[in-house]
Amino acid sequence: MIKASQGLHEPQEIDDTLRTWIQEATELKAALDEHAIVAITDAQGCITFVNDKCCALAGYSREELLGQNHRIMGSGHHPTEFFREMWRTILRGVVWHGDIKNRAKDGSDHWLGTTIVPFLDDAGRPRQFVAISADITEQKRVEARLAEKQRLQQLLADLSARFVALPSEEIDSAIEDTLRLIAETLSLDRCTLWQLKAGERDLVCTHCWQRPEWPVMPPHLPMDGSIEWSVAKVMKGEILLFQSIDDLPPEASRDAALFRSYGLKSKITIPLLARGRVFGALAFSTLAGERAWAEDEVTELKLVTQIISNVVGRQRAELREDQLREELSHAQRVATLGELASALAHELNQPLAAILSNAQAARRFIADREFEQDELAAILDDIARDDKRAGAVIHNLRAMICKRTATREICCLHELVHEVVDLMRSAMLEAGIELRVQLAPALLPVEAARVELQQVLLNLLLNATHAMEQTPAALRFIEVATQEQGVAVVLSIRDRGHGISPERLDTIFDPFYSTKSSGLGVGLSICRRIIENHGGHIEARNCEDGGALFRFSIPTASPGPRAAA
Amino acid sequence: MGNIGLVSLMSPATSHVYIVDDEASVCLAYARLVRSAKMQPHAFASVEDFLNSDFTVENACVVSDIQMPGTNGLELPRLLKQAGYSLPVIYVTAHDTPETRDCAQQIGAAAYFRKPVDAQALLDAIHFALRRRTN
Repeated sequence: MIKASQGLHEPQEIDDTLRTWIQEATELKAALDEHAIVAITDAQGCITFVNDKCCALAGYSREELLGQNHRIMGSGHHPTEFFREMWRTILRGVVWHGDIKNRAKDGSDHWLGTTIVPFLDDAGRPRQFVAISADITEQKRVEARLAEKQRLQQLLADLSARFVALPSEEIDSAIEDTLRLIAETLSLDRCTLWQLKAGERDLVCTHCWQRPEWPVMPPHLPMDGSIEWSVAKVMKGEILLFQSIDDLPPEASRDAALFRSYGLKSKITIPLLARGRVFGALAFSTLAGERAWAEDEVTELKLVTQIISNVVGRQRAELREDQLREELSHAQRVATLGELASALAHELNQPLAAILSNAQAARRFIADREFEQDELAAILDDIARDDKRAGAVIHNLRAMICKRTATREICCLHELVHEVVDLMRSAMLEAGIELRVQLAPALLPVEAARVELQQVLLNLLLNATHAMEQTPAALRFIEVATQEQGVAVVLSIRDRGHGISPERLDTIFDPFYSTKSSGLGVGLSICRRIIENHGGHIEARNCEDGGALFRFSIPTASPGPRAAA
Repeated sequence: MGNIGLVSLMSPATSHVYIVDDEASVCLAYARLVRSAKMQPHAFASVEDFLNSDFTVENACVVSDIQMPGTNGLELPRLLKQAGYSLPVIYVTAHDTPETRDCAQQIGAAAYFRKPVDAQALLDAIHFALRRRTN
């Protein structure tokens, strides 16, 4: 080349030089074909040359490619702007580098790390483009896996941080959000959290995220045994995993059929464990296509499951605790009512006695034909009134004994005091105790569960009654007082009993502390829970001149009319 | 009281029934029952009220509750005796326990009933108490 430009004209030399050039070019091309994928197009992008490697990778014969537009090998992966930019570059005569995702004849995709060299004619117009590429599919796959793994690890770190000290009311939405993030990170179509319901054997879907284009799963697994094999596997604490439904063993043929009917392609189900017992499972599925589950992916998913398992376990524990509290509170109500049995008998027997005597007196008047209509009317009115009174006693009793969650309403503390005092009157009488009620002239309403506050009042009054068993008759009185203090209403109950021993003042509201020989000993702890649930405060102290004083305060409801005493 | 009052006034030996019960509606119902049997009822809300009243021991008896504010109904026979009176006492209580029943028997109650009491049973007991006294 150098020699030619220097103007050497000896034919032999030219011949030798050309021969050398051709040989070098041929050898270079052979080496290039060996290493790279080469394709050449004309200025319009029509294929004029492809080497063997190009044909092999694309899966087309040379004849099928020659003369076709290069787009025949496109995958549709890249946005239009990608190729527009490429064309702008090479049409200017500038070399272009980039990664192109192409599609083979069989539909499989591959990545090419490509350099396109434009060759221009004498006028500077593109004459042809030579594309030299390397197959970087594997490299891309590894990169994608690495990126996915990184995202998953980031997600795991975020999750752990997120679920620490998450308020229980936010747990549900956080779990659903997590399922979505996992699905998006791992390109999954459906993530489901299944849980065993208390006391039952079937799994129920409690949280689910799936891509909107797929049909919604039924919330209960079929109970006809059609998924028995899979459930049994998971309930044993094993992971259920398949890339293809065909991978399932023959004994899981019914499971396989069901999965097919759900449109499942690949699935991994990891059991949720608490203290060695399976209480649910996290299921990850693909529906669009099959998916292999890499070993490290399974590890990461197990970690995700661990985190969710802890959160859900906590949630379930709180639920159990609530139920337990509810049970205790119910048991305590029943126990309280047991103590009130004689009072209740009195409350019911009084109106019943009056009703019976009134009815029989009227019957006798009529039989003797010695009656006045006014007298009979009065008797009937009295019967109706006493009947209603007995009905009200039963209604209150039902409300107090029923195991339902109390609803809150705007009410006046005074009404509650009256109702409880009415109920307690005869019990007090029996114990020889006088109830002195001093209500504030007017009181702002509170938003409260009536039954619960009545229970607190009942407990405190019964405690006071029990505390005064040894009190001399002259001092046997309980003072109930109400007052308003700022934004709270305060109720105090003061007895003249044995008081609270100083070392127990601090623990008197703790569960299972009781100085009573009878009773469950949870009365005061339930009182405190109820008052604190109402945003209030309860305290106990001894009075200087003897006896104990219990006081609770509850914030007033938003301003409303005052109720008179 | 109309006819009933007239009848009782007309009767030469009017029977007086003293009803002691803190429950006003119960007092009123018993009073009607007593009137229907052509006897004269007198109602009191407590033992003290009754003892402070101008009651007669002639042709009379007491129908009393037990659990009441102030003095317990079971104290009544002793207090009457202390004051030098003798009157049969019939108890009608809402708190029927074996202990109260025994106690009522020991202090010589004329009868003992659990609320609600049947009219005929109560009236029979009243008649029996009055007759025993007259005899």
